[in-house]
Amino acid sequence: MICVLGYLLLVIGCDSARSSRTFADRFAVVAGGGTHDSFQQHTPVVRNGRQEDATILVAPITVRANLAGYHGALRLSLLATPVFNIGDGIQMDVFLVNGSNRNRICSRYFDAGRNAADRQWIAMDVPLDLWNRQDSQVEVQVSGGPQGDLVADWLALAEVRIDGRRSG
Amino acid sequence: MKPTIRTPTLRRFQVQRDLAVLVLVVAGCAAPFLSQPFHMDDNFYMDMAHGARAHPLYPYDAAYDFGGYHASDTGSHSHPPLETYLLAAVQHFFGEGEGCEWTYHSIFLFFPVLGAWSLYFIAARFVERPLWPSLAFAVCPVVLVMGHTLMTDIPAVSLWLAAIACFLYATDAGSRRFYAASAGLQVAAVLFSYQAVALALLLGYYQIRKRGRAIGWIALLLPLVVLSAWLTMSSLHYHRLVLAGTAGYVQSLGFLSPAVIGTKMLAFLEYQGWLIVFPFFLLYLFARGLKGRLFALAALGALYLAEAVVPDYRPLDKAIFVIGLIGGAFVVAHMGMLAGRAFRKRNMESCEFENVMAQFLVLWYFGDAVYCLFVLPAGSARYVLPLVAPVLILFFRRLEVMEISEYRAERAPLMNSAMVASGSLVLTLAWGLFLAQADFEFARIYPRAASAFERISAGLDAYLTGEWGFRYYFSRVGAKPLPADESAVHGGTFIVIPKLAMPYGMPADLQSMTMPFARLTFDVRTPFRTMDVSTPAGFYSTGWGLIPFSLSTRSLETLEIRQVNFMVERLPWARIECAGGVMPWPGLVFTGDRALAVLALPGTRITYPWTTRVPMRLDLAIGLVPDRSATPTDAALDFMIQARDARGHVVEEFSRTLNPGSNPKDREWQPVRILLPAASSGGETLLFEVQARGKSTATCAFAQSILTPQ
Repeated sequence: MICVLGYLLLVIGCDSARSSRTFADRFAVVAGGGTHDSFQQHTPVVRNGRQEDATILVAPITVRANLAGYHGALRLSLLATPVFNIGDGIQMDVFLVNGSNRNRICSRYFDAGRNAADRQWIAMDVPLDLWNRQDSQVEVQVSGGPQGDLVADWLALAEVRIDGRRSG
Repeated sequence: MKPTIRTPTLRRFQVQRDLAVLVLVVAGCAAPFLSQPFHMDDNFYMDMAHGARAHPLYPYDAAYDFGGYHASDTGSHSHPPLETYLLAAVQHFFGEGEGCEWTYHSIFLFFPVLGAWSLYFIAARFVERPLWPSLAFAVCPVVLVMGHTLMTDIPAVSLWLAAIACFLYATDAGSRRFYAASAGLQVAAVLFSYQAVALALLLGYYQIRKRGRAIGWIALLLPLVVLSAWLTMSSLHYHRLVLAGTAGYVQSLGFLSPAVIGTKMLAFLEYQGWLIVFPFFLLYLFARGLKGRLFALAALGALYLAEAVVPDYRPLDKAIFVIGLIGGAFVVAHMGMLAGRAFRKRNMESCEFENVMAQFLVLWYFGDAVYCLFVLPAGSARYVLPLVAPVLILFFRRLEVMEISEYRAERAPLMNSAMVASGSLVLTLAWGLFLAQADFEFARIYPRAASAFERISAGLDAYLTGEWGFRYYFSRVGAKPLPADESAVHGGTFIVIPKLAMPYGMPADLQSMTMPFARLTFDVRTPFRTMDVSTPAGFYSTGWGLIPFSLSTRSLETLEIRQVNFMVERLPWARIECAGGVMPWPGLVFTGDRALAVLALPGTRITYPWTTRVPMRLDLAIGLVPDRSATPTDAALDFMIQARDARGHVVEEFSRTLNPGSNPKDREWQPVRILLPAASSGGETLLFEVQARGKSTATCAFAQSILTPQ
């Protein structure tokens, strides 16, 4: 009886275990904006005991995700952390790209080597105004720190999602 | 004319003599290994026993870090609590410490004796000479190796066998006492291992077919009621279905994926082919047919399979794989043929067993096979323990049938049944002892390693990233499992990483701040390997390889000791003064190898709080980052390191001026050693400074700073 119950629990649970697609799966490396080796998806990253299924961006790199299907006043929320605690820091800039317009909507410098507060998952919340914009894209650019030291400049993004109304 | 079944009448003297022989054999085989250090998952059960002593009613209440994960309790671990309570009692009465392992192993010797005795009585329902299968059980490699551990497998299978023996006799004789004994043993078995709930199905089948008394049903239901009560109590206590957590863990290992099932299937055959009866005799008896062509065909198929599945194995490992595969396949095939005959409508009493008994044996065997393949998360030799008994019964019954055929045959065979029976026992025993010795030497690595590490660490904080005996013995010298929250690990701490003992990865952020400190390698005298990283020996788990053993002369275990760089890890908490506004940062430099360093521009002073309570020696290298090195016009650089007491007085100092512009030797790395006194009052500091005597474009480095107890 217990065996059967246990077995059923296992089998029923199988479906829920399959990884689901997230907004981060929309990201792709921009042509000339880095190599595919610098872009890793669904990689487990641990910070302060918290493991996340992360997208890793190795500086210098630029990735973009299209916002097709999204409409209105939205928020891009994500968790970010440097993968390593060494190096002179990592600069992350987020742009909203619409045709030829490219507006910086968020900028953050991560410095886990020198700043203890950056040695954790950092929640970020970026407003996105997508009124009357049909082919918008969100662009994430990751570059090295001020001393130009590119050692260990790996940034992990997790739980990337767009909150708000979704058209269609 | 076919052989007939004749169940022996057990005479009192014969039984006493046989049981005495079994005790002597079990004790004799175990004696050389009684001092075996705690090994594999023994450590886990010892930890659980500590929990049981602290919280007797809910022994799994304590939080536990395992494999890099943190569990707030262990209520959902893979075994019920009887083993835990037993070990807690032994800990309470006999203590724990260096050299006490033999006490635990001596007490646990009860279980292989119980198993061999029980199989004796079970075998008496199937064969004419029950001593043979029970002796073979006592000496078979999987029992000999597992018999020197504290894991639940041998106790559970012994109680399983004892419960079956009592139930068979209870049903046949209608004895209330035997039913009660069986019920008690089933309760104990299910409280050792969830797997034992299958006994209810197996014995229930026997109860129906033999039309047992109604009390038999009570005996079968009682263990389920007890286990359900314990699970209900635990679920209420932990506010969750505890078995769901267990199931979740098994599921996380992908136990039903085709690849994992394929691996388990191959391992299931390998373990049977090598670890029950010495393969030569298994093949001699089971691989007959078509005048040797059947064996040749099987060998050819196994060779092809080896090339397809394990193309990277060495020829020796491929040979081990092929032999195990053929042996296991023939065992399964013969069990399958027995099943075919047993469940055919026509009476099968012309063959080895009475119909119901054959069905019972087949259900026992294939029931465990299904469990091994479709419920358990991976392959392990210990998982086939419950089916050792049916295999041995079939093996020796076949020999008895062969013996009768030989008696009637015109010509005696080259190797008769008596030679096969005694030869199989002797060679299986020798083979089992070889493997047990290999496992014994493997287990002995970790107490040695822990002693060596204790001399190195001298009481400094240390963490370990592995399991098994490694964890047990390193915990005893003060190392702790790496916490799930790696931010709790501070600079100067040692981290020990085994190569073999189930190492788990360090989070990348922590890894980036560590540097190599020492590497310890451990050799064993025997070439046999039960687990290994350089060969595919996977006796305890298919995670290490698909064959149950291998041979190698290389080191069995390597421990890498790393230290978290104090300067790098503590940098955010250091007081920084920098003239040019560029804060020092941690990075990598090349000092012959990649080295961790704190990089700073001239005009920088870094002051760390110094809190270490033991005198330390600080070794590091100072110099200039080569790719940004100085030009001949660069100014001289003054490096200074000071240890200061709480009042700011310098108690130890190092200073050195480098002229990279004029002296090429000063462009090389300069080794520094400074002795640091123990912090006592709490205000002590450690200061690192670099100043330029003029204009300098150099980037300076304090590299590979290593702290060692003085």
